[in-house]
Amino acid sequence: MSANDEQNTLDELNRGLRSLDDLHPVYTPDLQWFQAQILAEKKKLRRRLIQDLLLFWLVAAVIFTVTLTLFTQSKSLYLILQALATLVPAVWLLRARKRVDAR
Amino acid sequence: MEEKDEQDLILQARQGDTMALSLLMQKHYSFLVKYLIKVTLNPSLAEDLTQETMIRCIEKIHLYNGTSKFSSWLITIATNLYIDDLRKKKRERNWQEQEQALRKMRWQAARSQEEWPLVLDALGHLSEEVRMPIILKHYYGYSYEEIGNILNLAIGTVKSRIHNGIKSLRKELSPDER
Repeated sequence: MSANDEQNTLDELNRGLRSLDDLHPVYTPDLQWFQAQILAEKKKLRRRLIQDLLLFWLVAAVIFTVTLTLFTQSKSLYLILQALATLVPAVWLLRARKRVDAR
Repeated sequence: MEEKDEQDLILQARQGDTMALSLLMQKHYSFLVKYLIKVTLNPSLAEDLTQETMIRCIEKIHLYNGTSKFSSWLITIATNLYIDDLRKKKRERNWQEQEQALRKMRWQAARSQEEWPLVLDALGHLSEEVRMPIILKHYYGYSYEEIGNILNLAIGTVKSRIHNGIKSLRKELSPDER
């Protein structure tokens, strides 16, 4: 393909793409419409943030209560739980690393 | 709107000013829709992606660091949303949707007695991963590096996709050269 051929193709391409703008004119909404969209989206985001925070606090409170109860009621069970919480992620990480090495 | 005004608006929008963000989005709305119509060749999909891009823009405006132009940032978000959309759908479904959209656009052009450029059919037959860099380079004038950043590709990949894509377009437009 010569440089001239390439230029002709690119000119035709640009003409075609420009004609799309005439075939599909775009109507831009007024400023109030954008403001309403942004306010609605911000409200949705704030609601989602509050829900996530509430869930986080709820889960944290449950974990804290269970840990505290175990610590005061059954020390041995508490220690087993602590050991498992350390070992399980470590074993899982090691196995994941081995799988990556094997590839 | 001058460059400095736009920088001020961006600064205010990042600080949570709704009016500044509205002005920015209104200014770039038409550019964004037109870009999406060109890369998708599907006006209804372009409309949906524009809505999603605007939502993403509202969510992420505080992360915009100003290293690229605001319009390039919007294009990057829109392009990634389009790529995600393509990945979600099966290849066969994408192809069918594309053919249907092209047929509809041809029909609309005929109805309004406008000439339908054959180059758009040829462009529609290229895969999206080839079509996007060609349009970004040769219609919007982005550099290979900028296109690499927008599409998250190596510069070499961008160059070869553009080169091969133009070759395919040329072949399709001049069947005697096949």
